[in-house]
Amino acid sequence: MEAGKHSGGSERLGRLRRTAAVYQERYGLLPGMDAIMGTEGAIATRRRRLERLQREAGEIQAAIAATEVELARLDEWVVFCLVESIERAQREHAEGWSPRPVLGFRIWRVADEALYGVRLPWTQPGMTATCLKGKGDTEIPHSDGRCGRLGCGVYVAKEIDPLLVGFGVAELGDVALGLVALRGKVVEHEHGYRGATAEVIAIAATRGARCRFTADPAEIARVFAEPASIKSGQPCPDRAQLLDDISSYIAEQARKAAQWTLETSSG
Amino acid sequence: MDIGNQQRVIIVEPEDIDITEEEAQLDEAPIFKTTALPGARPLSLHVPVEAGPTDPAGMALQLPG
Repeated sequence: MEAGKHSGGSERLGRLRRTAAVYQERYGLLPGMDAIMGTEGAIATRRRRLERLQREAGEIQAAIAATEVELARLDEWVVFCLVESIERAQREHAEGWSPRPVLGFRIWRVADEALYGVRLPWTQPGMTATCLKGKGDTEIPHSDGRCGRLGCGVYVAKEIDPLLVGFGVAELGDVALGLVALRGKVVEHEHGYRGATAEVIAIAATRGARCRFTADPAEIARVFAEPASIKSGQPCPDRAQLLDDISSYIAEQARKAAQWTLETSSG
Repeated sequence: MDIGNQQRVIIVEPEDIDITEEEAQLDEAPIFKTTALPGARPLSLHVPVEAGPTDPAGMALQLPG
């Protein structure tokens, strides 16, 4: 709209200038022409300024477009470099990925109020790890050594027997052995794993002269919420046989879980 | 017990999957992506696979259609 007004005004101005020139030829210098000539000079000055600004605006637009292209190319380069860097880190650290949980074994000491792990009591079958040394809430379990050689995370063992021997289960009293599924970030060690989140998917627990072996999620939850409920389980055999039965049951559950995931992976 | 020296990191998570909104509403069970054949349309099948103690609800598989 502004351009239209300007354009129309310019046309009229042009006509008036031509008419004024005719009248000056006809009658000599017109009245007020000195002031008009001064204003014409101001108009010429601003016209030149406008042309310069328009030229500079064009140059700026071109510079913006060129910079946008450069930015896009730099972004692509950084994407390429980041992908390379991440993939190289994954290769150098032999990072693995799995859609299926990592399975391992845990021991708890059983009391009426809770199942006690090495560091914390468990009152439910799931646990999400935090860094107890306060070394940060991200990338748990830490794998850069910031919280020690054996850092944070929910610990599980790869094998049952070293776990039973390592914790002296034969002399420990009431215990529970569980099959645990780790998800999220899992750090593999020589003899076990540290996981971000853990879920107990089978448990064999003793309390007094009774024991309960189960892979039912609701029953597992009850064992953790009410350990005293184990007392309503089946009668225990003698201690040596009991530990054998516990190990065999959990090992069988692990075999089934691994078999099932292998079956699904093959479709 | 000492679990020994750190060896590597494993990331456990279901792979992202491209499904339609309609399929997403139908499938509430976890779905893991399989490698689709070229040009094949992914198809979700509600077929329990060897439902056992650790698979009470069965799992929906995604197979090349």
